[in-house]
Amino acid sequence: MEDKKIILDVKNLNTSFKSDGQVIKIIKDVSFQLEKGRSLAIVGESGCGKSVTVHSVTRLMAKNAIINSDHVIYRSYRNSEEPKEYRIDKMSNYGKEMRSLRGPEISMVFQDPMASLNPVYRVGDQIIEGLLEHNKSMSKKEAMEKAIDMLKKLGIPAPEQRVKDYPYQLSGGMKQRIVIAIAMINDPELIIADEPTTALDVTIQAQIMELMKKLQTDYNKSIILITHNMGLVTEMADDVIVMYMGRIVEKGSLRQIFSNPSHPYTKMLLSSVPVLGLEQGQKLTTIPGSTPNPADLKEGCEFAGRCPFCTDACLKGKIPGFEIEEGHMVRCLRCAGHKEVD
Amino acid sequence: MADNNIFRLENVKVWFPVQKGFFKKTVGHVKAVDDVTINVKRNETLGIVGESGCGKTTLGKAMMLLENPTGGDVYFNEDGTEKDITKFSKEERFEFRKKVQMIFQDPYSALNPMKKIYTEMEEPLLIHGYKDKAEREYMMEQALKLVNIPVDYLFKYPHEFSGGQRQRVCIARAMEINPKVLVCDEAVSALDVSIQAQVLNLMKDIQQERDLTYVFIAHDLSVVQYMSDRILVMYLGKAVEMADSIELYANTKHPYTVSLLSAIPVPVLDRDKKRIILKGDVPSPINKPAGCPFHERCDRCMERCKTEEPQLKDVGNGHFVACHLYE
Repeated sequence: MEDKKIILDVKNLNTSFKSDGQVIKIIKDVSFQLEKGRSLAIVGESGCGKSVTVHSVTRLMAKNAIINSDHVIYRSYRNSEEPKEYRIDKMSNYGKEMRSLRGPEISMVFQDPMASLNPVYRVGDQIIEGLLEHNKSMSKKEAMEKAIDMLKKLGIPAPEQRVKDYPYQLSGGMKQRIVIAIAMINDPELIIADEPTTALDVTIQAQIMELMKKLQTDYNKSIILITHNMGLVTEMADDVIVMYMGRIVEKGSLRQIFSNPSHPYTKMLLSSVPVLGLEQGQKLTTIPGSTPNPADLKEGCEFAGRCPFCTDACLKGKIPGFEIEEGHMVRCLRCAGHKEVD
Repeated sequence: MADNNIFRLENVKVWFPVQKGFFKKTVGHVKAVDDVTINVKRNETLGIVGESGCGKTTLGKAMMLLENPTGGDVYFNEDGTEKDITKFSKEERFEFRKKVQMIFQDPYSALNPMKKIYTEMEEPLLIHGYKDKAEREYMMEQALKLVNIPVDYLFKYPHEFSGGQRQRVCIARAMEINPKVLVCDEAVSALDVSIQAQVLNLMKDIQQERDLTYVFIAHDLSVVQYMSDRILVMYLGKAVEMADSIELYANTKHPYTVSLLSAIPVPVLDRDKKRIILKGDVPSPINKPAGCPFHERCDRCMERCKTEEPQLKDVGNGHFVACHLYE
């Protein structure tokens, strides 16, 4: 790992929630690394823990969450070749250190632009709030100029007028641009986008995605994209993680996952998406059953109950991950025989 | 073949007044559906696509008389005689509703959380005058069998179901009085992909079994193409293109449809990407641009498009398009 600049290194992340007197494990032994300048997509159905994973990394969790991990390391490569290391796992959720990371180093774009903007403040004030918080010496006027610059970069027409608007005066796509501007204003190295376009129309989604791709390539930013849209993944991501019931079931580069999906869940997930140009009369593959309740999961493979290849061995113990190709990990006993990596 | 049409819409307009001031003076109209002429054939699936605010839901509601058209006629032809549903009396409307049912977008809010599925499903039967309890129960059971839900689930509450099951219950509730037409308004957009595939396949099976006609409204073009025989593309209350689903994808005409199709991210590696990113947003339906509604965002806009509104015209092969480029 000499040349690779690992910006985020997560090892054995476990997150549980206390609820009704019992502890429910939501994230189980999640490990991944993100290189600088690359984008990582986390895909899975709702409830598979993709949002909880990134919220555990940024420590934006409710009080009943218990986060454990071997380590969560964020490395900042800003200004120098020697990275500055931050042990996120050792920080307290809302301590000074963590707060200084959120914004200037790691920032998030949330799903619903309608809900993530405050309706009673002008959008300009909402953009500069983070900037002023992290740069105490900056004047409001300077900050506003930076905000206007940022909006120009994001392709918003007449930004001088737009900063004086309230959120209700803007359309959905515009609002999402404002949310991205808020996330970008402190020039963070890592942007986490949690379903950034789910609430938007396809044409607007294409605009926003184009924009994010440009930010990534032009400014060499790293992106974690959370989505359930397989199409977006192929257009945006370099690496892909597939999650099911809180566990990474398959991990690899975009090409590895899409040209050689090896976990039964990934295969079925990919073939259950209707693709344009499907022959008339052709049927979609479906995954039988529905996702189990995380509170009553037994040991063994989480997917066993819905898997057509399930054997007795699948129902026992912890299923290890096998590396079937360099960088391509599959957590399935059908790949046994390859090198165990996890 | 007029006989083949179960629905025929002629110049349907649904306008909502915009009122201002103390006297509620009407200052303008939101032209949600503006001058749409289409037909729905028997036993086909007509897909309606478009971005949010293009009027696809309002058009679906106009077909169900949930919204009274401001202008134009909606003809319904069940048994060979065409009737204008906008002129129906109260009794006729009641009968009509037996034949046309709707499935709504969000299965979480379409079922009353305080009521058991039994009560929920019994209601339409009671309204439509099925007095015999045993008969009602038989019909409910048949409907649940159709959607592969165990009959003893009748005595459960909605919170005990998953999203896919709820949507299946909604389909069962719509199907139990044997309608001829199902209007599905974004029926699968609230579901996960694996569940979505289950529901879509189920809907296709039911259609074959019961000779149903679907009007399938959705914003997801890949889902619509999978389900539909013909597709209507709407933009700002106007029908801009209508064709067989295969024809529409293979031989896309209207610049809006072209850009809409190119905007869809497809989960296929190494697709040759010729993306057309549309600029700006959909204009307000209150102050529509003059001429072609799409001309401000169109990359092939001509002088003529700014003043003259194109009409939906047949360009052969059952392909209709409203664009000056193809005249």
